[in-house]
Amino acid sequence: MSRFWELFVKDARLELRTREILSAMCLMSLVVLVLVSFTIGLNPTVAREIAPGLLWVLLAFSSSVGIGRSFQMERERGAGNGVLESPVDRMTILAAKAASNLLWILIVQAFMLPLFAVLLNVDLTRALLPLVVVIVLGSVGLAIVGTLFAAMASVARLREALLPIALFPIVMPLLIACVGATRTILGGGALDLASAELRLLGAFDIILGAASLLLFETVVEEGL
Amino acid sequence: MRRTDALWIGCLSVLMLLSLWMVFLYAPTERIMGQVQRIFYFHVSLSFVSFLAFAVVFLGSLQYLRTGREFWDELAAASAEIGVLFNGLVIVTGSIWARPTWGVWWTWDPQLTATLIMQLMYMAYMALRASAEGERQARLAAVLGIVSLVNVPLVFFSARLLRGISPVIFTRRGRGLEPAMLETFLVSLVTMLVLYFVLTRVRLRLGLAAAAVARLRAETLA
Repeated sequence: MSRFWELFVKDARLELRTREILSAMCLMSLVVLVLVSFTIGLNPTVAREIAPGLLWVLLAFSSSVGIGRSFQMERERGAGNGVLESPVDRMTILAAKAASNLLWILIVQAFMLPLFAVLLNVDLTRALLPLVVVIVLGSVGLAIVGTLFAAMASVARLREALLPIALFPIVMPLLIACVGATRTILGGGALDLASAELRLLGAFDIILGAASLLLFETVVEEGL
Repeated sequence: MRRTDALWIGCLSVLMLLSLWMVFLYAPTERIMGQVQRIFYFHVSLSFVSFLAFAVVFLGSLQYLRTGREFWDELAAASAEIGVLFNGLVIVTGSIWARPTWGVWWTWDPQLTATLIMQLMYMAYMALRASAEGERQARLAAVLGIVSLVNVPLVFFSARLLRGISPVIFTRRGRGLEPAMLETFLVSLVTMLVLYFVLTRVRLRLGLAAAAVARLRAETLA
């Protein structure tokens, strides 16, 4: 646990110094939001209809930008191999990296949700708590699986291009469940109306999360 | 061509002619859907076999990680390619059926959506393979091959949560299938299985030969 904490704090401290990843993620959310409003034309009816889907499109795109940077710093300075050589087991390394990615996603959401509510004119205050539950559950799965895929992408030749094309199809069940649950919640329904979606989310987090933790060792066998 | 190859191809040719005859001449015309229903003999058997192909990718990946033997990696690669081909044909034959039946080439029906997501997953698998070499390629591909198959049930479950479920889907299989139809279906299923086997076998041999050439070249240059 203490190793996990050390690795996590290291990433958090580095990010606090540069704030590179967080600003890139926020900007990505904004750019996609503006792009959608120009290309689709967000009048109030359309906005309400597509709000649940758009929320998760923004989250997925901005997360893939942030997660894609996970191992960049490690690669550039060769620090990744230092971490790999230190007496920490691989699962802890992945878990710590995923935890910091999760933190970035949640921070970005904390900034983006109010903006999203204002720009799309949707009322999030009534449904805030259940919405937070769904966002956290969805972000956990996205962060763990995404971090495994970021490690794969960073050692493959396609690099940045590989992450979205491999990650998005895999997390499609998670996104479908999140969008469904969000639609129920924003429509004024209680959280237990989305119990099928929540169970799927939980199953995804547990099954794919466990698979990612177990398989990370294989990915970094030759170093980062 | 080796003798066993000739044997397999001969066997496949006979089966293909037999299933064509059964699909178009032997099986009765379906009362409601008419002639277009005959495409199901191809569509459904292709779909079964593509699941098998992706399961073989999973087994090959798992075995590769356990044993480190090149054979398993090449088997997974071969099976993924044939699986993507078959699953692509499932989507195409499904569209051909949907056009006269539902009036559209494509709807976001759960089954179609899930099949499409599965296709995207395994196309990404092939993109990943193309993006690395040697042992690294094999290991990364094995990881994705395992994660993808673990994800398949979740994909199908999640697609059911999508809105606008069309009830038509449930009338298409099972229940009260006429004996002649069932026989035709079983024969086309066996045909597709043999086709999958023959193609994967050839592709596997090609993959192993290519790996051997790459090794020889590396040794000569060293």
